[in-house]
Amino acid sequence: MRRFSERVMERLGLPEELLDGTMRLTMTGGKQVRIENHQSLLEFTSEVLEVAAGRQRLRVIGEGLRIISMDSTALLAEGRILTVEVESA
Amino acid sequence: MSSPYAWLYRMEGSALCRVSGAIPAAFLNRCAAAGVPVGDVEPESETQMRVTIPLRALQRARRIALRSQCELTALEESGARVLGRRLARRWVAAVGALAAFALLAWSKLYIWEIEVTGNKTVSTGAIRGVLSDCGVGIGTFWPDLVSDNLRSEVLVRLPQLAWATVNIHGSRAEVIVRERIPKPALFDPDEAVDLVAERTGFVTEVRALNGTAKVKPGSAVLPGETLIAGGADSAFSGSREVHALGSVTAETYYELYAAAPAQAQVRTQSEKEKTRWAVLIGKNRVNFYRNSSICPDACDKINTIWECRIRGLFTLPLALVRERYTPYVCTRQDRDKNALRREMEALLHARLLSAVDGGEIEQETYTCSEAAGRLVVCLRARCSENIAKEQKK
Repeated sequence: MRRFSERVMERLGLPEELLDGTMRLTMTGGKQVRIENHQSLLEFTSEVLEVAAGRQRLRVIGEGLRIISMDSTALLAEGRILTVEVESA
Repeated sequence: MSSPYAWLYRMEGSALCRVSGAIPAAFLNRCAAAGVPVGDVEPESETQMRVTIPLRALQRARRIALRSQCELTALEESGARVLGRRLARRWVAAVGALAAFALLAWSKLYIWEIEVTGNKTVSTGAIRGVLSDCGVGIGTFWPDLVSDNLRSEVLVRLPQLAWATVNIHGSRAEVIVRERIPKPALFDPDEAVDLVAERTGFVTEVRALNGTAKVKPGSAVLPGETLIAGGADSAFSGSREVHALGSVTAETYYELYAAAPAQAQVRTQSEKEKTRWAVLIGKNRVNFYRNSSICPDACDKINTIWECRIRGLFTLPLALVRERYTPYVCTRQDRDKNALRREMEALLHARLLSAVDGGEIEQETYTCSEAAGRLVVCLRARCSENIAKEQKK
């Protein structure tokens, strides 16, 4: 179903982010990261923040990471962000 | 960067907690799923982190922590609700805070500070004096004031002012004034005006734009001598009077003197300084000492006043005054002659610049001599300047 909707969006030329539940990542100045539509926090230390979002896993590697706020849809974290890795299943 | 919920936490109160367990992230996931807002999460180790949770959600967070096999320990509570709880326990402090707030609110209805801005030629004292006559002074109940009436009264009493307003900021009255701009003198081309010499000099250049030149380059002139006469030939009456216009540049000579005593009186502290204290409450003063405050002879008196106020926010009618008396004896000491000479030379140069007023200093020499215990510096200068000034016939 998900793939079908993705295919429809692709055929229509619409951005995938319009799909409900698609992970969205906003990074500001290498110091702040906002992850929307995450599903769960897998790992959190001052160096690593790993989040699951659908068939993807997002891994933020940095220094002095801290979560500013977190609710069921969005997660806002800050620190010195060095790397952001996205792993698709 | 602070949490977007920070203001909410401060208002309703929040608890800084420590979460310990095998997977503290599970606690955060469950909190997010249950709608418990968590913020300022700082990991301490792999099994421990610090979180800030609103007080209203603390019990739910404890239950979630148990389900997540974590231990939640509240480290510190803060915010308005917590402050209220603490004050409720300390009722004396609560009453005191309430009384202080009431006192502050009451004091804000009175003027305790007057600030005058925008005046250049009219003194602040004169404006404050007029305001006092109009009933605005320290301790005035400002809700009784009518700004329009006050403005009219001030403008009638001080005709030098074109506009005035009184703004009240808490217990501070800000008086903004605009002074009347004097009417400029109108140039009348038919007015009989001559250009005469302002000082002695040798004329080097004459530019007569209107009127008849009476001197030529090379001639020597004395102060008051007519340089350009306010008269012109007329085809009908022979001559007619005009307003002379032009400039006459002349070589002028200056000899300026400055003298200063070669010795100066220096004050040396003779005894231990004394300090007196007093308190100003509104217009009343309470002295914490006996006798009068008349300063004894040969004594420096330094007053320091600490007002009870936060600038721009509030002013209370309370001030602490410290009077410090330092007895001294005067002794005569030689002054550094080189420094004194340089000081006087700078002073003479400034006087020369002021006298020449736009002219050019071509040559200046300084000589210094000492006579009768005084250092005398003489400045001789040759300048080139416009010496013409207007004089009505």
